[in-house]
Amino acid sequence: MQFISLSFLCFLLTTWVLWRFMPKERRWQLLLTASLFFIGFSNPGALLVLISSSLLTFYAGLSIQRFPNRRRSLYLFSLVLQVSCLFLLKYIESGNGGLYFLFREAGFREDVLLFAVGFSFYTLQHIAYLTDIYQKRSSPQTSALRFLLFSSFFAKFNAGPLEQTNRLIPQFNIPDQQPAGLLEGINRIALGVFKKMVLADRLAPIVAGIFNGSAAAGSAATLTGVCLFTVQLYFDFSAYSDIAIGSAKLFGIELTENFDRPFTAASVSEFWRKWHISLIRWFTTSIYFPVAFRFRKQKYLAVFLGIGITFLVSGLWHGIGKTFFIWSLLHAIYLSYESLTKQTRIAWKNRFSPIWYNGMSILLTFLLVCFSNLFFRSANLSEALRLLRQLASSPFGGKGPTEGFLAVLAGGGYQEALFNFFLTISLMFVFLFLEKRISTWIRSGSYAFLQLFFLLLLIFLAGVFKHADYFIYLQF
Amino acid sequence: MNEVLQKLNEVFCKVFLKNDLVIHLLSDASNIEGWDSLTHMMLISETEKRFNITFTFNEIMAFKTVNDMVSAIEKHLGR
Amino acid sequence: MGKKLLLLLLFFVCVLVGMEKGYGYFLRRNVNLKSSYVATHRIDADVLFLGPCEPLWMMDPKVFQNATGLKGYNLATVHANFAENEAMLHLYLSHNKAPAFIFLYVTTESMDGAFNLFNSYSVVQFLDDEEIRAKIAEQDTGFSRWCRAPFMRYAYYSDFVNFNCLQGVRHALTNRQVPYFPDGFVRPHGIVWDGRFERFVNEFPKGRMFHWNAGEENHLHSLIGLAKSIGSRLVMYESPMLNDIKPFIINRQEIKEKIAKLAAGNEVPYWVFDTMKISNSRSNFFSILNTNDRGSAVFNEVFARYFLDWNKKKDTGREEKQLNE
Repeated sequence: MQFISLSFLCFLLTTWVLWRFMPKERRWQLLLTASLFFIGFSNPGALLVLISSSLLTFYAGLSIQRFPNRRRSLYLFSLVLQVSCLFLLKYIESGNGGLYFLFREAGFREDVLLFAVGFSFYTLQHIAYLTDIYQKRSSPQTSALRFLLFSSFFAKFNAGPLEQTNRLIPQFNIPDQQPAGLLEGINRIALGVFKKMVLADRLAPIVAGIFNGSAAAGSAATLTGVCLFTVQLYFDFSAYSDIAIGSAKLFGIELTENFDRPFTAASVSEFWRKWHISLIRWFTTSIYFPVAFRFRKQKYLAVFLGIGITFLVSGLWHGIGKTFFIWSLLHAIYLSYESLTKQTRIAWKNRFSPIWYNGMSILLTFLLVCFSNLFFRSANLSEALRLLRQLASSPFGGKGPTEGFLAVLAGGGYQEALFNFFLTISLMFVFLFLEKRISTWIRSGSYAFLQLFFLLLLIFLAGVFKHADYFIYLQF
Repeated sequence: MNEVLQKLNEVFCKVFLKNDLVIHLLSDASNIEGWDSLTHMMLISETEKRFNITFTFNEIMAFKTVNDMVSAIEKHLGR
Repeated sequence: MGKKLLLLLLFFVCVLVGMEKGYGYFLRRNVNLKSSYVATHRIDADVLFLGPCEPLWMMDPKVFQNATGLKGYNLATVHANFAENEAMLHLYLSHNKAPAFIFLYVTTESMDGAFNLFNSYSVVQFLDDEEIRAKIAEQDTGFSRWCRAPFMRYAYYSDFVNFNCLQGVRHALTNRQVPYFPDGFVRPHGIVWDGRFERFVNEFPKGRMFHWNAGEENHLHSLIGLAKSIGSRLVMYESPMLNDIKPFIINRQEIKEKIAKLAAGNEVPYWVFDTMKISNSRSNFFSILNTNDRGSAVFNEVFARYFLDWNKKKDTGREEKQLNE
């Protein structure tokens, strides 16, 4: 079930009404039923795989604790099983060349895709759960059904945020149940829908025009398109998290925040603390720390290896292909450079005026991230190379600024197209400018009704109903 | 200020290249500039060298504040 | 709080209903929107040019009028299939007398459903008109279902509607009555080669089979029927196309024969201009089927002369009487 669909709206309403009138001690059972329905609705087969994988993980966790002599083999066995499933799936998914864009064009069913994504997310959570038990950082869960709800919880099933068992499962129990944040939840969902339908989907054709366009665009238009892709990706994916967090909030469940205004980051390492937080946390604890810990005696090697392997795995997780490899390589280089020069940079910052230094750092960070995402979005290496060539060409492709820049981005220079283009760009800037304030308002509940009204109004006035693109991040 | 904390302070000064850095038991990543997962490992290996001890993986994963580090060091030193 | 929330939603629905009325009004006031203009203004042309973007950017009613003395109006709309052509004609007739002649552009592309379609947003401000509603329901089913919700008829294609609505506000405020393109013809001025030919050849290096779409055929029949019922003489024609493309339309001859047979069966003339010399050179085109300024100038003259000859040759006196009116 897609988040932005009438069926999800009906599903959410029905579940909420039932939840409202359900005795407190049975509410988690209702959520479990609803979640299984949510998954089974579009793909009954997925349900079977999910249930078996969850039960396997659950009992593996118990056995690891119960049989101390065999814990290592038990752990490794279940790990191999989970990881091989994950890679098998990624392999099938990537088909020829490794991209969801191809995947979609190849006419795969969208529910298969949704399931594939959910599969990668809950697999990661299962792996973290087993690792925690194996390394004796936490003890296994005792209720199989609650564990199943943890794995399948509909709000986070499709694309996260990744949760930890000991943070989520207690919230299913009566004493820890929060009151439902009805208005906050609704506003958060409305914000997500707004970000997706108004911002991300309006940016989508502009970005697609640059990435898929065969016409040679000048460097100015290409640069803008490449930067806008990163913005689009942010709106798209954070919208998804907003809807997930908001939906959970309706049922009094707090999910982890996944984004913290990443475009204000003044370094790439800070960027990664603000972007897809729950996934990065997973990579840090499950891959980076173990690797770096093993090699900690060799100071820099530890960090380089840790970063390198982490991003290699991250790149593989996102997709199998040369472009993803370059993407991970770039980030490994960025972060290695930053860890090497950390002290120098602190010294610089103190020497220059901090405002200027910070401003320049934020801009540079943004450009570096956008540059890496050029490879992330390109369907193949030759497309990436074409874009690189375009970036090195003359600003307007040898034409005037109107014809060589605006017309290229706005899909022809017609008044109507220009109007839509400027509307999109202004909405984007206004939102980015107000973003901090809006999220504070949503959390504190001030202007709640006014906010809801304006969000709904904007969705109806400027939202893209037709050709609503899938959430980009669902491909991973 | 106890002896372990004082020695640990020197390690922090060395890793973060800041001679006037003063740490407290409650210091954590949020109030020491530059303390993140990248520098964390350097901090760990310097601390191990300085006290001549070896942390376990679970210990370093549990380090949230300076206090966590101090207690772990004291445990290893047998105090 | 629950009550307040319900009240807010109720209020919001009222706002949507209000906006729907407002959008509808201002879209109808937009004289640059062809559907609005023809349905609210008297044009009373003697001849109409109908079809998708090819006639829209090619058929200049002024040239035709200079040569024949007949007043023309270009009723073509971008990307339109026969159903949309029929909807446009219907809207035109709601406020204008029936024309003597209707020139309908028909080519291999028109019969293949993959190229032109029914662009609901270009006529959606007349959704309350039964004929238009039925057309949308048939041609754009998904959209038609959404139309039942307040304001969704405009929200659904907002990128196509918002600008037109704002322009409508301006036209209403200034009480503008004359469109930017008064006779509906859009001069392809300054438009450069659009590369569609190269893309087509790239995609179909061995050529493309064109499919005969039964739906399109039905709508062509229905359009012919409508013209007959209002006493207008319908003429199907195919304007020049770039010769280079012909080898890539594998079954062009077969489709053309089918079109000719259909025309003959309905006693409609079918004029084909694809042997004209301008077809040989790209300098007369900006796309596969679209002539540029230069090509259009030549073709409009030829078309008008051809019409005059044909009209003279006809032995039924009926049309000549109409012409003399």
